[in-house]
Amino acid sequence: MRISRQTRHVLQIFLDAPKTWRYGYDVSQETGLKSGTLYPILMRLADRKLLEATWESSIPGTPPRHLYRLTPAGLSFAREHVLASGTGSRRGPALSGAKS
Amino acid sequence: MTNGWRKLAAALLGAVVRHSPSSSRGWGRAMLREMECIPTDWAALRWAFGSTSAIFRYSLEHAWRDERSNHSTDGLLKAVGKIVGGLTLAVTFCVGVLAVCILSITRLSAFLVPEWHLARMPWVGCVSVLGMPETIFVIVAALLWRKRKIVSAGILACAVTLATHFILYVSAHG
Repeated sequence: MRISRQTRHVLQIFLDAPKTWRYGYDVSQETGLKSGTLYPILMRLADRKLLEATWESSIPGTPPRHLYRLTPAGLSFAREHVLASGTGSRRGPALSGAKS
Repeated sequence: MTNGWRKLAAALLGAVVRHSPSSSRGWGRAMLREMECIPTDWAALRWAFGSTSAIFRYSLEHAWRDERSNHSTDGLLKAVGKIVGGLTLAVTFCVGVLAVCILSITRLSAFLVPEWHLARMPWVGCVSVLGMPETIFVIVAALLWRKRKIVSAGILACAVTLATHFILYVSAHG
């Protein structure tokens, strides 16, 4: 399966702390991807069971937020595609000026 | 911090989420929640536009995938085979009927009742080429309409083609 540079960047962010649940907005900030680019990537990864999503346990007074992290299959996939491509180290936003 | 732009962003994304298919509604709600955590209003509006685009694309992809799974390749091939088979049968039947009609009136009558000289009469051509086959086509198509709709439609198409060809021929050659 071929993956885009943006997808590889998202996988790289999740791979940095594999057990940590992340908010969509935080991933957007870290990768520099706009919501219109980031969410289709998250959706496709989730559809392929590479990403798991959960609703944050609600804190009284604040609406719950969606959290994401890689599944075990997603971790293997990410290691295979990110580390093999030689982009394992963090290099900053993939697309400059693409913050939302 | 809430002003017009943020309200607009929330209204836009909220409406999109409400009207999106169930498959993408959860994702839409997630994007809506994230938008509430964005500090600036312009960024929130840009987030709403991006999210709208993402929801729209995801809904389209899902609709396309569902449509493809409903009409799998096997099913499509079967349907195409059925139509092609039905039309082939109809055309074969029509060509056969037309050949039998022409031969029966011109040759058979000359063989059975030579004194009638049917082959020389001008109206015989019209009857053998158009009248008889068209009548048979319409009757058979009507009989088959309920059970073999494709064959029936094929026969009717042949009938229309034959009639059109005949009219054009007559109008061109007099």
